[in-house]
Amino acid sequence: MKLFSTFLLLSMIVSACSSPPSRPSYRLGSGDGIPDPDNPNDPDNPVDEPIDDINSGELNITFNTAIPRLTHDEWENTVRDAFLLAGRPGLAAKFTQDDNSTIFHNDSDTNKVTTGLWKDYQEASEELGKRIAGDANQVKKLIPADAPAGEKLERASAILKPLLLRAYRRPATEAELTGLSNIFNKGKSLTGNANYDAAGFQAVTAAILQSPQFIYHPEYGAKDGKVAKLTPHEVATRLSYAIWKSIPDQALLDAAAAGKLSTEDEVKVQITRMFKDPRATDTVKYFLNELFETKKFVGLTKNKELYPKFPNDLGDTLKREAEMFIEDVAIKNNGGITKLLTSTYTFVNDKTAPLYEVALPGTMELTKVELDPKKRSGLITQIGWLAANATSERTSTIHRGFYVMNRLACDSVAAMVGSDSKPMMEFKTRRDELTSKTGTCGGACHNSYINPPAFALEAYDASGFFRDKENGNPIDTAGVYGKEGDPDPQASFKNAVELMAAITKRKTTHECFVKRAIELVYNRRTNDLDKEIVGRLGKESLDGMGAKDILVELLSDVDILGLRSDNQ
Amino acid sequence: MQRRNFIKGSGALLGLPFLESLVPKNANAQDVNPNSFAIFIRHPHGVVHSHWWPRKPQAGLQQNPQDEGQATTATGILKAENMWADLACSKMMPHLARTAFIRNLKMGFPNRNCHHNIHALQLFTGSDVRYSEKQGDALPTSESMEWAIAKQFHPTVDPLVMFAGNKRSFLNDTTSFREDGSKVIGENDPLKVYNRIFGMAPKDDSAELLRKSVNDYVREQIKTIQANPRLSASDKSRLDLHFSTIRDVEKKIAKTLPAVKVERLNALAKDSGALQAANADRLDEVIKLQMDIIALAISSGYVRGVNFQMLSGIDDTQFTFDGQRLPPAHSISHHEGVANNAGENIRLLRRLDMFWQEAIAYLATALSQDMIDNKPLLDYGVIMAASELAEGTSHSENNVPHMLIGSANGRLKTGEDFNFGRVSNAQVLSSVGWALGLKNKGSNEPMTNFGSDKNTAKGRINGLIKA
Repeated sequence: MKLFSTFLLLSMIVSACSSPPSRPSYRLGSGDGIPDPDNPNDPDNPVDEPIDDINSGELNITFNTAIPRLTHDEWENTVRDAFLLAGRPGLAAKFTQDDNSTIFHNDSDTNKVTTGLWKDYQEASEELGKRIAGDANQVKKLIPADAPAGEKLERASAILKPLLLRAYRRPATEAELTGLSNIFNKGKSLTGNANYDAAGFQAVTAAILQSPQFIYHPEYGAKDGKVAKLTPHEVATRLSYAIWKSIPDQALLDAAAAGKLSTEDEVKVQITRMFKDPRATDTVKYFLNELFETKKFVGLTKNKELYPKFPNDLGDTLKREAEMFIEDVAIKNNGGITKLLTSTYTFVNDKTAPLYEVALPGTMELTKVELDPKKRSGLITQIGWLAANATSERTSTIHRGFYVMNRLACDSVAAMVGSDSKPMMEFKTRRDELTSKTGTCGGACHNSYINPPAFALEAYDASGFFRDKENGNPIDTAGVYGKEGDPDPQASFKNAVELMAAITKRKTTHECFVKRAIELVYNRRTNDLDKEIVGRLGKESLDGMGAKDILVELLSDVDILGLRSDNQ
Repeated sequence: MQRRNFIKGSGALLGLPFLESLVPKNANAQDVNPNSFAIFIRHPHGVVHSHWWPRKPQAGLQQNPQDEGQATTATGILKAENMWADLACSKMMPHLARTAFIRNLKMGFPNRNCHHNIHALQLFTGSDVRYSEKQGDALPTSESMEWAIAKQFHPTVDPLVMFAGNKRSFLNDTTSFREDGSKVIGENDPLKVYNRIFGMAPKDDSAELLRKSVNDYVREQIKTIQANPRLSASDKSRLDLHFSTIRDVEKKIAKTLPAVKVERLNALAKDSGALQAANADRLDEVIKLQMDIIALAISSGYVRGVNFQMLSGIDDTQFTFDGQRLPPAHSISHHEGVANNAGENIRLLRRLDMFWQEAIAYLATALSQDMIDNKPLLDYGVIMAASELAEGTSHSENNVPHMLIGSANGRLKTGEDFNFGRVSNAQVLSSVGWALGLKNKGSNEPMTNFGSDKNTAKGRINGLIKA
């Protein structure tokens, strides 16, 4: 029964945007690469034919790596906290990018150490070693008061013990300590630096930061069927990277050592404590800023002739506006996805107020204002997001709709084609144009999931300015989201405001929000092992649970926190 | 003279670890020239076919073909008279004898479930595509050819994988894949690539000593983890990959770009915003700098396989040509860059096409500068430039533009405008692989088939190779 229900769930997910599965085939004709809808024999006209789904029937009990690699963001934080630096070293900006297949670029299954990244690690570790060696205060900070004097192995070992406890997130083994103490002890000859301690740190920093014990945070656990049960130290490390994106603190390591991370109550004690740290707040903010892609707002420019009201130095302000909105909704008011998509206020200054058609606040400081609730509803309808999902000349209509379908509803047809079968025709509005162009291949997804929100968001031009006409023609923003047979009923709406209200009433949206949270905190994609918690927290989200509380509840579930999918 | 003579350490000629890249592995010596190489370039959006290929002049028709109906296509031996100035192919004039246009190609596997990237994934892999619900992504089932080249000829050095433009879409990094089909991230910062290849020398002996000590320690650590019985086969494979990246000796390659170009690279990289802006607005300049680096990497013998993806295809790149800032390239490709003006969109798209061939010709010229045994370096290898789409509105997989520049040491036919009928893109790859001396997977037989066995059209193209 369980297997059947799992299969049913998976089938529903798979079929949400891919039924009927189709494959274009091609017939004899000109074959010039240009479709001719008037010629049924043109091989370039795509037609739909049913095919077998590639993975139909495959259960989604997956394998996740036992050796997740630090993301570059985690690398920065870990270096800062392990070496007691005042701030993040800023060296990872030059690294070969993390795999970009997922929203948070943190999929531990795909992030590996490649040749390019190894060189990046080498350069960064050597650079940091030099920085530490050149900073007497930093060297002093890293030396325990009780370290024995003299240029000898005992001193190196005493210095390295606490450092390795932080860097490796566990006590170092004797072999590790000996190996690194030898490198520290030979620092003067290895680096040419005449100061024993400084030279030792220069050498050993390079070794620690290139060590796989630093780069990976292992989650071997004990194999139990299709899962691995993590050890207490592994759980502690998972928690700290989930909440702080960095290493566990002493209290967490102590809890691990005492075996106090195995029940929900025990874990919750730690989580509650950890969420009082500003780093946890940063994680919540990071989650939502990445989800809404606010970094794309930086550097936004628009064609001055078409959008004279949009100053081309607005990007940073719009990003800050979104950050403040997220902070206000999710941190100050403990709101979740519903509030993020339906709140009708934002923060404006004298430059951005005209774009919202509200009164100037009389300052360049961003100030909280109420917007017209008939025109604006949440972050998706704010200037920054709308302008970022547009070119400098026109709206990115499909991209806006795709975002709603993919990011907010988790419909994962990540590579959709809009087959523009009538390229040379002229249209009054984008809606007319795209309705025509997406009617064949891709219609199954476009018509139900992408186009309805895309058309609703056509009420905002490429600068995010509200409009009711396009090229002098009325804009039709009404639509129906979803299709029959979906887990949620189809939702009718007249405009973007109603669309946002409808979306936030869908169970799918809230379950998707929980899935995104899982992706963030566990550095992996969701699988069927998560379905119970996705359903449970999805319902809580629908009832108003905030983003922070979803993260707390997610991490408190010891069956998720303490297990690794190990179906191999 | 072989390329090893170009490679220097800190002021002295050195035997370098990657010199083994110049020694064929598992290949018959007569099949493989030690200077052979292949560069795989993807240009996005397809092309405007009427102005991409060579065309025959006709009586009474000016070499300014406004009326497409009057001109006819030209296949056969490439002639200067067919490379009209208004055609994108005119940019290949300096390399006419070394160029092969291939018309009427199709992608081996059709679009399924409307996945936008399914063709790009095949472009240099010739592979079928698997769609993973778990990974939420479509991926090929086998490697792209630059990895096959690296595996056979320089297994300790990864091929060069680069990307032009800002990465803002799911079509980022869709052309380079390892043997297991895992995606390879292309580097879009040219300075980073340049420094990696040409600027990695330790400053002094002590730095080298430190690196050796650290590497020894790290290798031991990896072995320790690998010995853990709880580690799965795939995790052992991850560690194998990590282990293989560690190099004791990384020498600076003595070749450098002209100072003015290095200065420009540094200016672009002064902050991430500068590169981002250049990638969005001055990508033509960035692409040519990337081409310079590719040519240098080949001429110095650093690698023999390169994969270069130009744009994701759906980013917001806006080129500026002759003082005119074009609408975003993707919008133009959909004939939407200028609203309701199909003719103007086609004109702008043709301008983009001109640039693709100009950039490819620029690389060909750069590769022609070095002479080896009185032959230009270009003659020893091949540039395969291709788009996975026929054109930007239909996204058709039929008649996808492909061209080869360079004969791989005389083993590929060039100087022609070919139409082999409906051969597949995988067959071009198989032919290129054979010309380079690659072997069939798992055997020592000269390559007959690259990519998936499920390809309906497979095998080499006999008309393209000189057996």
